Amino acid sequence: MARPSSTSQDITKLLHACANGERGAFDRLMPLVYDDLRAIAHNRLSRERADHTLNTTGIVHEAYIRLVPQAEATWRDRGHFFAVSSKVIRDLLVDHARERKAAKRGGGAIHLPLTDALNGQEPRTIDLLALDEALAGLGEMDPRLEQVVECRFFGGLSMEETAAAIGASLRTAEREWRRARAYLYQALS
Amino acid sequence: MAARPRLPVPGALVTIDRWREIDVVFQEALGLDPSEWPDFLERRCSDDAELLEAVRGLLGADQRSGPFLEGSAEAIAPNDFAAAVRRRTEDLGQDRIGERVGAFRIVRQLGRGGMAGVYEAARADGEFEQRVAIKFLRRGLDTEDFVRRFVVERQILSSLEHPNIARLVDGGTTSQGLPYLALEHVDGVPITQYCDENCCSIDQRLRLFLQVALAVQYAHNNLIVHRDIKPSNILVTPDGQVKLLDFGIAKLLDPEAGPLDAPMTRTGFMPLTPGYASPEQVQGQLITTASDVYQLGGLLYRLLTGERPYEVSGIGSTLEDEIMNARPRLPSTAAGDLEGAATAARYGVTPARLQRRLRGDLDTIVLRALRKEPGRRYPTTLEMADDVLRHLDARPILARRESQLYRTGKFLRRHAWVAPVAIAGILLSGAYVATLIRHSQELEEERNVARDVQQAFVSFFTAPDSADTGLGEGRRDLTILEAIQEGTERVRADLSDRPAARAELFGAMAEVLRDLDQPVEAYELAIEALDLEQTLYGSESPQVHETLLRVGALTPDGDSARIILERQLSLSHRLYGTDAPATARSLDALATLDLREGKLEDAVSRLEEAVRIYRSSEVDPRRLAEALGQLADNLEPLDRADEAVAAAREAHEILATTFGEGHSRTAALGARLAQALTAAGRYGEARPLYESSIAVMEAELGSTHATTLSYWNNYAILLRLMGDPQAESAFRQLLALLRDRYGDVDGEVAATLQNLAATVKDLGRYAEAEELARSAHEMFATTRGPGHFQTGFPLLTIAEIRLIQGDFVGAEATAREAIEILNNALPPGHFARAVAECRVGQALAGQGKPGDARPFLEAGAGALGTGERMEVDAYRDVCLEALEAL
Repeated sequence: MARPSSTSQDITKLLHACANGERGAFDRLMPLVYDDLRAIAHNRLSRERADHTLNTTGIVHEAYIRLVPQAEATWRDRGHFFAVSSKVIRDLLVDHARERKAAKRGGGAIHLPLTDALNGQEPRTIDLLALDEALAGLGEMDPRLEQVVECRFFGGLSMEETAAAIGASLRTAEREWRRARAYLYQALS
Repeated sequence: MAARPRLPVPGALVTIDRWREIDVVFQEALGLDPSEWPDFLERRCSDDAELLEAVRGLLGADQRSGPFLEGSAEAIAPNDFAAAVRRRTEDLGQDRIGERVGAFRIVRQLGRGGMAGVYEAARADGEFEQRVAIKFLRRGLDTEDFVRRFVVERQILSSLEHPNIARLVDGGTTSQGLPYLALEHVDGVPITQYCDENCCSIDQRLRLFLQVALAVQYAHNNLIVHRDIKPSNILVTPDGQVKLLDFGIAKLLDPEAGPLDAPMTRTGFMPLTPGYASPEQVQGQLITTASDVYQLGGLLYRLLTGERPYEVSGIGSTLEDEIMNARPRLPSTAAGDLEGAATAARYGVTPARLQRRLRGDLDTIVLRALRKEPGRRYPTTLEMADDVLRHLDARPILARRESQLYRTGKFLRRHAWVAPVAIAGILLSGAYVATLIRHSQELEEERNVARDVQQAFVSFFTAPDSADTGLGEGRRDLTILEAIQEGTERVRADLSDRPAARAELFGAMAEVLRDLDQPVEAYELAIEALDLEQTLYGSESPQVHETLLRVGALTPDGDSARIILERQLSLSHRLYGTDAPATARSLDALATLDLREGKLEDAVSRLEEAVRIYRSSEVDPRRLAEALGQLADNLEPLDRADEAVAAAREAHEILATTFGEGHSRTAALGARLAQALTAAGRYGEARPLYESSIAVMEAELGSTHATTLSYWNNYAILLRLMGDPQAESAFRQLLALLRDRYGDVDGEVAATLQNLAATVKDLGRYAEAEELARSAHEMFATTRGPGHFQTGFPLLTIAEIRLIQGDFVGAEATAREAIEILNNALPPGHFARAVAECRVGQALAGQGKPGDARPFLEAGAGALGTGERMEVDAYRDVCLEALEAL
């Protein structure tokens, strides 16, 4: 049976609510965007072309175009939407890692290999679940740092898009990103 | 929040307050150069060893973090990401299995989406055996809006009874109060899968496609647009029957919606499937049946080639750009690239044979359906189906009758909100006409009339042998124009005793004919309708008022048109008063006529009156904005720049209030206002407006969209007028965007090179400016032609540079070269010709030949003498100065 689509009208309303600073609008957006993002990612995976890799930022952009009426959306809507989408992608990855870990009885959290191409060092790995936890802790201290990492790392957004998503200037976003990276690097090493 | 952070900071767990303290020092340090850190830390943490340790640790992490977290999670671990997606897609919503819903018990889940879940269910009351698909709103989404939309779907489905559309079995509310739909359970697979698994031939695929097209046409006849036609919504049963599913985002057309209301009053943008979305869907424009025709084109493409018309990458605005701008490859070309073994397995032929089979008819049919402009596609699904059938029967297809269809297309573009229905209705069953009549409350016996009209059309267009295909043999060779003409005769004969219906139909057909470029026939029908209505309702009736407006617009002779429209206006006054919106519409029509005859002042005063009425009445403020925008357009050429600014500003404010600052409509009027301000010489006010309009359009349409580019261009020109050195970088940025979009050799690129050359010249970099002007000249010659007036413009810039540098002989030669081009391409008195003459004169004066120079300078200054625009003044002054110096 075909997939009925969620309605973008509600998404638009919630985005406007976010823009007006309404509390809780952001959280109510999550479930609306969740299934669609996943469906888009899934569709991309099932395309026949073998060389077609998933591309998180592409997924987020595609979801935005699908779900938000372009004629009605504002620049700020786009930022909020990207922020929500990045959070969704984080949830998706972390849930998966958690399940894998459970399936392997604690032995198999996903490791993201981080290749230090600049220095030619050995590839390092980080534990996605540990990252998630550190990030949540960081968010308790400063929610904006958490959002920046969500946008940059999980959402694959550019620095400019990240700035729009957190409603800050490019310079501020860059500073926050540097700050967050230092905290997380320290927490995970 | 509890002071139990999970974030380890050296020195064990810290409280939030302590963390803040550390963070403040850390942030301060980040603002400094690392070489200053030791001193800073010593000063800042002298009495707090723990603080020192913590900040030092963080700064160390900042220095060592390298590429940590740079690059997205997905790019770093694509396989894990893919696995996560797959996993999360499989395990949803098993919780309803076994639940009882109405007379059914849920057996298993079939699918799930953002708004609803779909389950297979079996009859549980033992009455008889029946399997259905049950669709629920998801828990938590049973808000008013969602429920209403669900009810609309139920309503749409209940009005559709067609063998190729999955039927509505039941609907209601669960014990927990959730609405649900029970649909015919289709035991089938998606059409593409069916074709490939059964190795269907092209003929078999086309016949399956015909079933889909006719089901869609049936929905259109019922004023329903599906909007989401794609393989997963089309199942084929094991015995080869097609079932169209999922009217979840379908909508009912409103035949009463007018052109002004249409794009704005739509109730919410629909979600869409990127690979199959039509350009108007991507843009959020009004969706008509033409959108379904487009999606059928995409479906046919997929069935014939296994590929999609576009590979949508979906990166930012690229998705929209591809759907909006990319030309799909010919299906036969796409087939040529297919892999041999797979093709043999799917179609039973080699790629080369497949390619030959698709070339010609099928390429043409598919591409016509996939046209970007809704109006240039097949006007109806039926016509597309007809061509497929013609191809199967080896008869010539109609798609190639380009000009006729193109003219039809013009009609459809203008009347996109109703035309496809109108035509389908007129050709098929009179459904549109019936609806139209049903809605016109003034008519008596309306339903009887509607039935008569419908019968008349049905009997005319349905031929005896049409039963098997649903396509009337009798109309296969008719174009729409011929069909309407014959239909008119039929109406005249069969409805001779029903003047009201006749008048109504003739009025509607007159509009169709006008837009098929048949003004004479349209005029005659409108007159006939007018005569009927004057007899039926009297000459002071609203019906006559409406029809007079139509007749006035159709009357070819200006003087007669004016008499009719003046009469119509005075009737407006009598019927509705001088302040009614209906009167404003009459004024609009007269203003259009004034414009046609070049009477700008008259047009302006009528539009001002219309604006006054709109302003004082309760109508939609957007109508007022539209009238104000038109007014601004007319005021500008009258040199009433400040009034143009005021009108454009008010329109802009209305739209900003209605849609918000960040809306593309608002931005478009912002740019319009900026243009008016520029013309008024109010550069400083124009500048921020352009900047914000460009930002909005970049976000909404993408940075290489034609509209965005045109604003960039105007903006850069404004900066140059302002003498702002940033003009150069603006032109350079525009140049890069244009090259991105149009390639390196292009007329727009050349024009921007020319503007850049002039800007660089202003900045005193003459050698560089000359080089730029030279390449603009050559590019114009290639793209526009050597004799085109634009090809002459860069030569004027080069001549000016030579004058500045004192190379008077070179300047004369170049300016004469320019004159030769410009005098052949432009009318006498054009300012560019005058500028060229001035330059020749200046060059001759510089060579010490005042006698030769004088006639050139006099002619040039004379032609530039009538001060129209600021830009021209500067040229004239130079010319006059040279003349005085002689």
